[in-house]
Amino acid sequence: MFLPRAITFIILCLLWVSCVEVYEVNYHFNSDVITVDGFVTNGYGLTVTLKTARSEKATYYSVPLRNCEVEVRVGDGSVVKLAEYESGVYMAPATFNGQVGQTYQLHFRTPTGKVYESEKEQLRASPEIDKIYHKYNRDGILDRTGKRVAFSSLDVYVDFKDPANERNFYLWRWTDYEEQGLCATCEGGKLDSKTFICTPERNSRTIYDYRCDAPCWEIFYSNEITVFSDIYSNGRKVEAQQVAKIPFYSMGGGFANRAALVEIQQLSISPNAYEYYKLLRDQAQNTGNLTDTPPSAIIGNVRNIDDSTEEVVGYFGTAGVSKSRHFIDKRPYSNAYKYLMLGREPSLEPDSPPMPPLFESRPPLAPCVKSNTRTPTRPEGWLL
Amino acid sequence: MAFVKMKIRLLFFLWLTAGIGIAGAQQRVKQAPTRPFELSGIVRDSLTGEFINNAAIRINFDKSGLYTDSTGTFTIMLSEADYTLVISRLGYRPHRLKFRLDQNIHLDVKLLNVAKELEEVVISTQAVDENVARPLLGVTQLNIKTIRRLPAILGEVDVLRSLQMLPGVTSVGEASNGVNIRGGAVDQNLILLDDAPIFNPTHLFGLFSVFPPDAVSSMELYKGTSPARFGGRAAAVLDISMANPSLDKFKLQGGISFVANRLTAEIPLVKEKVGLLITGRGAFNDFAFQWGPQKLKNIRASFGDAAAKLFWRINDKNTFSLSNYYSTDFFQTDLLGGINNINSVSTQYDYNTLNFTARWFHAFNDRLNVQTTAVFSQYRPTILLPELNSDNKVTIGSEILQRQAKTNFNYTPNKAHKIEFGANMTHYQLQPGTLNPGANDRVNPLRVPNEYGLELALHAEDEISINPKTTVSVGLRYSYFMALGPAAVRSYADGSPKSEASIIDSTFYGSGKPLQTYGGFEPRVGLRYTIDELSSVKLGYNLMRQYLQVVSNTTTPLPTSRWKMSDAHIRPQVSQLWTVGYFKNLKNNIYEFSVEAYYRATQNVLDFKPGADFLLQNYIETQVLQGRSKSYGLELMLTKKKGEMTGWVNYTYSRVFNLVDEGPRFNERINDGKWYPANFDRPHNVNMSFNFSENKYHSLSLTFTYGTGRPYTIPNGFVSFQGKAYPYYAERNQGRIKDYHRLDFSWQINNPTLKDKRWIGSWIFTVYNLYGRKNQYSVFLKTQGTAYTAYQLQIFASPIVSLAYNFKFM
Repeated sequence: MFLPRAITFIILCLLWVSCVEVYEVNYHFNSDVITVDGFVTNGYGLTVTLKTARSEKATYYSVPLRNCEVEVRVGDGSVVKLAEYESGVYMAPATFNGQVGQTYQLHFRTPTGKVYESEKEQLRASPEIDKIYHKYNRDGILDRTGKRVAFSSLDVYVDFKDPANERNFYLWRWTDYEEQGLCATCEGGKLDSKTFICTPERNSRTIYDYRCDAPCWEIFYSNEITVFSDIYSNGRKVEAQQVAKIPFYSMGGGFANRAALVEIQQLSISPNAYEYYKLLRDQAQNTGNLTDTPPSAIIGNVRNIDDSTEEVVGYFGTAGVSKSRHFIDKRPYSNAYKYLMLGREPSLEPDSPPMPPLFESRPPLAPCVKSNTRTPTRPEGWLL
Repeated sequence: MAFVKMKIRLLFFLWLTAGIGIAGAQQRVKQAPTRPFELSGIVRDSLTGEFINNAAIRINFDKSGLYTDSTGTFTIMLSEADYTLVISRLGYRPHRLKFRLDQNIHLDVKLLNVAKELEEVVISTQAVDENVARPLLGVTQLNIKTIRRLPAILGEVDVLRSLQMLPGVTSVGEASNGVNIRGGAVDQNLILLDDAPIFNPTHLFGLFSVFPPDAVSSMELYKGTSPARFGGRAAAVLDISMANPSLDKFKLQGGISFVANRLTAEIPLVKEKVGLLITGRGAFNDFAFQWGPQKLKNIRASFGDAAAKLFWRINDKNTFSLSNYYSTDFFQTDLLGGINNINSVSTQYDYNTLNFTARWFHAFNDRLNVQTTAVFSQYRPTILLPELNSDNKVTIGSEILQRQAKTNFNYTPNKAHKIEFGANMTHYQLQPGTLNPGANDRVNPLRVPNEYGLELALHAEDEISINPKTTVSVGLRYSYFMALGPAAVRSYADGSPKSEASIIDSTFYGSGKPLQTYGGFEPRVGLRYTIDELSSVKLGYNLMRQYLQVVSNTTTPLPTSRWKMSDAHIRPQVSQLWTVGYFKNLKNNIYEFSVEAYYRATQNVLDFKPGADFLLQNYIETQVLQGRSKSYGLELMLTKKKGEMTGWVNYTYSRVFNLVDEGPRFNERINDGKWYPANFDRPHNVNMSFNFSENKYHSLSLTFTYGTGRPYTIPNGFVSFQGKAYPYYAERNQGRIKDYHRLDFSWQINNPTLKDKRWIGSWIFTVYNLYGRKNQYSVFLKTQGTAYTAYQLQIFASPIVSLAYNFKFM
């Protein structure tokens, strides 16, 4: 009797656990909400991003909320005016820095005259990160069905001491620097060697990548939410807290991605901010399990002061920040499932045959242009 | 597929040939030469000695039969042969005997007592006019034999799944931890097994129900007017009784199925005086998962339940019984909702129930009797988090302890009155959560303070026959609940949502001090007006109060879901139910037809706030909102009770809506304070159940069920935030999963050797979900970066074939 029972039980569990399939839902989106994202920190300045998120039928998109009057009201009575630095992104003067113990409140008026306000948030100090280390995880990231390994990952952990006698809530963000060997891509054309603009060619469907003319680093940011509450461990040493799961980035082709430099920012946030980020995390990470978090409106601490029923997504928070950098030599991990930075193998423009002097030889090298996601400046802590 | 088809054909062939063979054998028996003899008898109540009229005498399994007259006697002339006799009457334990009629025989039969308080009865037949005459509405007596014949998933006879074949009883899907009755939530049902409450009615997260199938003797489902003796839950009562052990004969029965093994023994300890029933069931196959695919490697599952009942017939006027029930479950899966600072890769759920019921029945005389019951009930769900690279397990425990004493008098002064009255006292002790880190020094131990409560109730009910056409049942219950200290009660600022931020004061109440009391009358009224002998109209009104409930934010409550008593902030749920019904028996009571309509209004139903978290939460009021619920429905049912083919067809239209509006802020209301469908709102339901039993040796059953898909929440849009897409939900439950339907089949072969022996074996072949409908359990979204995909979770999405062997030794 044993064997059939065993088999049935396996079947039972197959049916029970893994019968998850993609399902076509007929969406009838019809939402139009303002999203607010900003933190007052000690050390990272103050940036607030305002957008309108629209969803219609089965698509969604965001429109920057431009030309707002944005200010932050400080507990000591002072007011910090924010200027629109790029579309929908408002920044405080570079001299501004958050102070531990002080309260901050966001206040903004849209061009249509609607006025929004956040709750007051107090800035709390963050304890220092005592130790930062990583583990190479060959089967780190699964595909969306959760059945196959998609990429290897570098899992970063921290140890720190949670302060006793107060409730503490943490949010971690990471920045990852990776060597970038390709600084331009042209689709259906070639890179002009002087202007570094792609020149289209008729009927061409080629995709060409161009090497950088100097050392260059690609910058990646976290988009998963990692939060922690000391509710069960107040005053204890927190050990092996995983704060980042960084895909095993690679250029592919013959490019060597020898190392990664990870900066971990440990933010000490308010209880309400913790609740909000936890809710946000849970809403995106449903697994179809019986214990799934039920759907909830992801509404934070910002309100329309004239209409309390208007729903505003996002959070204006305060955070003390402590940071730590960790350099990872990736060369020992030769069996990794790589996350290709371009989403494909590189495709270089073929070398032109040797040319006489005065004629230019192709392909040209592209400059490494500094941006949010790329830098020619050697990052602090890069050891190679 | 071809193989399956061939198999089915083969089965039908076997069935047909078996049927023909048996029929042929009977033909030959009939041809034997015969001489007539008189068979007569007198049937009496075993306790009072009163004659029992209208008792059915069924000869050779309904080949012929007759009823006793008003003096309890019967006489029939029969030819010389072997006979099997079953003497039964509703409310009495049937009497069976076998003999050879080769002379005139007079039988003196005593049927065991009518009062179900004395000995639970196997209701083998519904009295012909039962449906029409009883004043209560929405009462269903379920015959455990009927349930045994229904196709059961993996061969496990299942009380709760069978209930869902009845009108007005639904669930949220395959893995639902309980049933929804007439728009009631799962925790609004009072489920009693020998008077002890069952807090978690299913094994393995809803796959099987916890009631030991071989020990259940009767089940009454009160989905309409509940008798006044029941209270404490807002929607319905499911009263399950365990069989009393045989007092004269050792009996053994059991079974082997793919999932579990069962054994039940009835042992007479002192003949005609003391008997013991022991039953056990276990499924401990979890090692099998190790050979499964990678994803299942981490899964372990096992469950078991056991019960014992000691019955002592002290004398003709006193009986005493002691029942015990134990149920245990263990389930391990990949980590679900871990706890900060604990490195664990799996979550283990371990939960068990331990109940005791002691019951003393005393008959003062044939008009007055009293039953006194003491109940101890303990339910302990635990979550365990085994730590990585360590033997340590961090445990999150909780416990419900319910102790109850009650007494119930039955007084029948004359034919016009049936009076019942009594008192009930229940003490609750809830341990909402303890966190025990074990050897882990990075986690602090934590203990959420216990909750204590005392519920007192008095009840009286009279069933009055006003005239031959009209009977009313008037019941009144008064319940009084005290939430007791020690407890700290917070005060929150007026006009603000209850949260950490709005606390203005905290008051401490000492041990045993009431911190809040609630109470009120609970009228229960039923009226039956007989139009003619075969049809009647009934009206009912019911009010019930519930002081103990589940707070949960999952589709179906988990075994580890938090139970919460009413307190200074959580008000008790109060439910009122109005029902009207029309009942008609047709064609010599072969068919029974009923229409029932109901409307229910419930106050103070609990719903969770956005982002609510109940785990180890001391102040539940900061996580929940209270609102109203309304439900209404129409239930049509046609039953065929006799003949080779029996069964029923029913259709239910029902709706359930909730309204939650505690204030204008988004976290004080749900769906802008408008009515929204509840999780288990499934408007159309059709159930069909057919049983074909040509003879006692085998029977075929087919059941079909259809239900509108339950609601789920579709996002109103998506929001891109910090480089990732998040679903944006503005409303709750505005989408629906696909409709549910399923056909099941079972073939039961009894005693295949066709020999009459003390050992009787039977095989049950079952196909659950015969045509492999891929029913959805849930639809959910996953986002990766800025992309999102919807997925469906399907449970039992292909035909599940099983074979079970059951045996009886008696």
